[in-house]
Amino acid sequence: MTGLLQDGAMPAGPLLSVDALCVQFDLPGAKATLKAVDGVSFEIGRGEIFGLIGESGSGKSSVARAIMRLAPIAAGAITLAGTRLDQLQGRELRRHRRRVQMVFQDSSDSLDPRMTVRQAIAEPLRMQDAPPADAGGLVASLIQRVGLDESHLDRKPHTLSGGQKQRVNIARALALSPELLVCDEAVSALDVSVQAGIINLLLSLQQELGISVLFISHDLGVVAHLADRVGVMYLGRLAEVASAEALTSRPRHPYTEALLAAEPEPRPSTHRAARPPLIAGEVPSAANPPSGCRFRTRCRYVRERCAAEQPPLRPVDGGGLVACHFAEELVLEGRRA
Amino acid sequence: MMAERPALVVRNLEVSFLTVDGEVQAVRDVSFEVGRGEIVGLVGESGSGKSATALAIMGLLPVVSSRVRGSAMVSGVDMLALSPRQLARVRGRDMGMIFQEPMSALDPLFRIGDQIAETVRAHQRVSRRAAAARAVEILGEVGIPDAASRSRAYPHQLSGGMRQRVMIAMALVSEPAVLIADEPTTALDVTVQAQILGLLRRLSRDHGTAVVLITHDLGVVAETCSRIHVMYSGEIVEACGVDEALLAPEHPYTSALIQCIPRAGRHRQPLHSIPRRRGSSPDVRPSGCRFLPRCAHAAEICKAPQPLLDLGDRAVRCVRHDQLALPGAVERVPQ
Amino acid sequence: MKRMLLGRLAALVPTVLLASFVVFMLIQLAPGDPSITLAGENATAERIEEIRRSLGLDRSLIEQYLTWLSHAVRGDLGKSIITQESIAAAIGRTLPITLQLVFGALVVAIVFGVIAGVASARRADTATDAVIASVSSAGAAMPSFWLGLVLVSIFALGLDWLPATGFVSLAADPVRALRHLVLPSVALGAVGAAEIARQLRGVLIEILASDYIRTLRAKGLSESRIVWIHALRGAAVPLVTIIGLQVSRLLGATVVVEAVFGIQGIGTLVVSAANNRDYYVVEGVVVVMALIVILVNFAVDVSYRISDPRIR
Repeated sequence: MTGLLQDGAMPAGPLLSVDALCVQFDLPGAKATLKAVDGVSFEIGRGEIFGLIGESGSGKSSVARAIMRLAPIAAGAITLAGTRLDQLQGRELRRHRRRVQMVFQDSSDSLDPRMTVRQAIAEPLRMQDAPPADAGGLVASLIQRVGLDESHLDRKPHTLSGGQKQRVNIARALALSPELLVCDEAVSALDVSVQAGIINLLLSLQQELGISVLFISHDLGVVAHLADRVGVMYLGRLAEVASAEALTSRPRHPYTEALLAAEPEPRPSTHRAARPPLIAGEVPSAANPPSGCRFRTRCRYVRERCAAEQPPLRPVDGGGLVACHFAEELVLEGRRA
Repeated sequence: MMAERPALVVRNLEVSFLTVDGEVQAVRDVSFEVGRGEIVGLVGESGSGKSATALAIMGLLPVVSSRVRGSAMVSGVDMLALSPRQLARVRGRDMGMIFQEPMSALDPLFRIGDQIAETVRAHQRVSRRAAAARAVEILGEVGIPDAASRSRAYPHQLSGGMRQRVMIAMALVSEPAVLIADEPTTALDVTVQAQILGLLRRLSRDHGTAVVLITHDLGVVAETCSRIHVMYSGEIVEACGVDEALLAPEHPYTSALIQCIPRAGRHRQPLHSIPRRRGSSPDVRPSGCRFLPRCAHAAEICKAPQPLLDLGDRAVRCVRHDQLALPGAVERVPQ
Repeated sequence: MKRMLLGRLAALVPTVLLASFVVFMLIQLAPGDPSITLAGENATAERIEEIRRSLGLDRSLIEQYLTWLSHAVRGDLGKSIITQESIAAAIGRTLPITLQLVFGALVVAIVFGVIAGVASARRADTATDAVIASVSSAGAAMPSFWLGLVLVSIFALGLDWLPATGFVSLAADPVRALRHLVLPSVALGAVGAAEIARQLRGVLIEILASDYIRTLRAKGLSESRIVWIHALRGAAVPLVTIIGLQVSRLLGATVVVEAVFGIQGIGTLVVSAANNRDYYVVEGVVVVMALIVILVNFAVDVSYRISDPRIR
């Protein structure tokens, strides 16, 4: 890959390892729990952009929140470069929290309207036990790093555009030199012309700083463009993990195939194979998920075994991981072209 | 086929909002038409004026704080010249509208079947029983399974996709000539979006409904519309067939919009973005081409006011359109 | 649903008990003593002490309360120390009168409040809105007794359209009853009408700007159907809350209005009992009032669930 990975000085092993993670929420009123994430495992390498895609109710945001320790972890392990993040408490938790920073969908809600851009970026620096000597210089270099200039530093959030605000959020997230940046739908609310600029920024941050990114989105086109590897989530479980190229050109899970088919392609009809949607209905309730394979109620290749047996996420030829009993038999179509 | 009168003809539509800072123009000189059974896309980013255009045609802009000029003919009647009372009579009967958020667009306190039946009774003299039966019938037509029992459900008991189907059923129950769909799938999951777009295509074809599809998503337009109108800063900058726009855009903004979208085969390559040139203020609209501060092809001549140039099967608001060979959605084979 | 209601109803019992206890303690804390009243002028200290003992007032407060409670739960609220009338009978005689007055005031408050609230919300920030706003803030500022006196001097003494004082039961003679009810109801309900109008205006303006109202306009409903059927239904929960609060307020305010119009209601009963330190009458009336207020709140709670399918 690029950047720091080539130095050879980095310790071996993945940066982040999520192992059999379960996130549960208690449902108010009804005495039941909602398993938002049910046994999810993946790794993010150093300097890697890992994309996580899924529709509403897939649990992709709960994964991000669990890594940030903002969601209740019912079971499983989250390990960041040897540190069990899921077991940290109190002081230790605060000390390690800075190593993972998050950027959210709504760029405005994440900024205090009364703070200037300078104050917003400097705030995490001030919160440290030992604030850096040259905080002012650091803030100036951060604002340039995210593609704004020092004239923006004394402005208030409401005078900035949505894209500029999201750049400020990224600068603030970078202030503590995190090892992992978690972006939860960070470009989803932006106009496409602005979204493109943020995607370019994230790519350049990865290449120049060697930072790892967990990029969560419902937009397969954006995720596939940006990520090295992509995980596809459905109803709290991973359906497939593969390199972005392999996932889009040769999906191995029927749900991935359906997602690719449903994605509207901005191409002229002459360059687009018209295909009917491969998937009917909507995602079932996460409070009462189907037995066996969670996707079986909407899968067009469904067989008897799918209801009886939960398919494990397992390696298949080609390097990816798939949770489908019949991955070897099915011939699935990739992105339309 | 096109000899018959178009279902919707919008001419010289202007919309401005009265704010504390004075009158702010949101839509300028917008003209377009939609034929029976045709789906036309109105595409733009936030602030392009596409939603203001839709609300103006429906007469849904606040009377006290907005000003609308021009005309919008539906079945030979100018919607913009009607009194509020007359407008209420034609809304829902001659033209319907669906919105982005199916969550909040339905009255949470009424059963969906009653909300549709109420629409029927607002426009036709029929019994309660007949209106209820019609509601069940149209719910079935928009693909709601078990429509008779689902008609007794409240909106919160339905999923987002089902609610949008209810919205479509409600808008089409009186078989209006024109349907305006304002970002109808933006809040929905992509697999549900495909279903809803398929439903709109089918209903438009089967009933001859003229559809104005308002969206920011060129992919949605490509899969659904026959013609496209690209809006920027309140003006139409390019109007043509969808395939023509995607193959060979003639306005720099259309081309730039296409280049912003990630595309297969260009994994991790920098995307085109449309930055504002340094020193240009977003609050000041140039007197010439409005896209000028962000245009990569700007020249001195662009500072003059730009009319929408009629090129026969296409209209472009760019004086340099024939000097530029702008990239589209597919690599063009060198001639 | 049924179980929930029973549970909520059972939870009211401790509330009523606590209210009765607190009131019992508070009245006795007030200076004065019914024995002094009963003993008459120039009574000796021994005589007063004797009466105190015969009334049981020499025992500890807790003891007295428990005795009272053990009778009260069996429906026996005791007798008036002063008049010897059964307290239950006194309340039974006066409560219907007060309830009729409160009901009349509530009708005035709701009818005028809703009409004014709807009118000003539909014409928000216009001259109509401003006029309604100033009239209702004047209404909210006017004390009931003063408004009562003004109404009496204009409509009864001046124009002689309506009777100035007195009371007739609705059951006995509806027409005469209504004529007697008009002025006190207006005097008592004016503040409520102003309050309902002001709050309803705010709620409706928000609802009328919501997405689903835009949908209703888009499908061609008439503006009056949108406002009176859909928007008002959406405002039901806050509206019922305000009305519930008004009932509690009216029960309190009725004391003064009864005095102005010479109505022998429960307010009059409790005021004279309090003046004579007739402990058990005050206690009985307050407990009955508390029970009414608690039941009204309970009814408000239940109506939330009925009016909103989302929390049903």
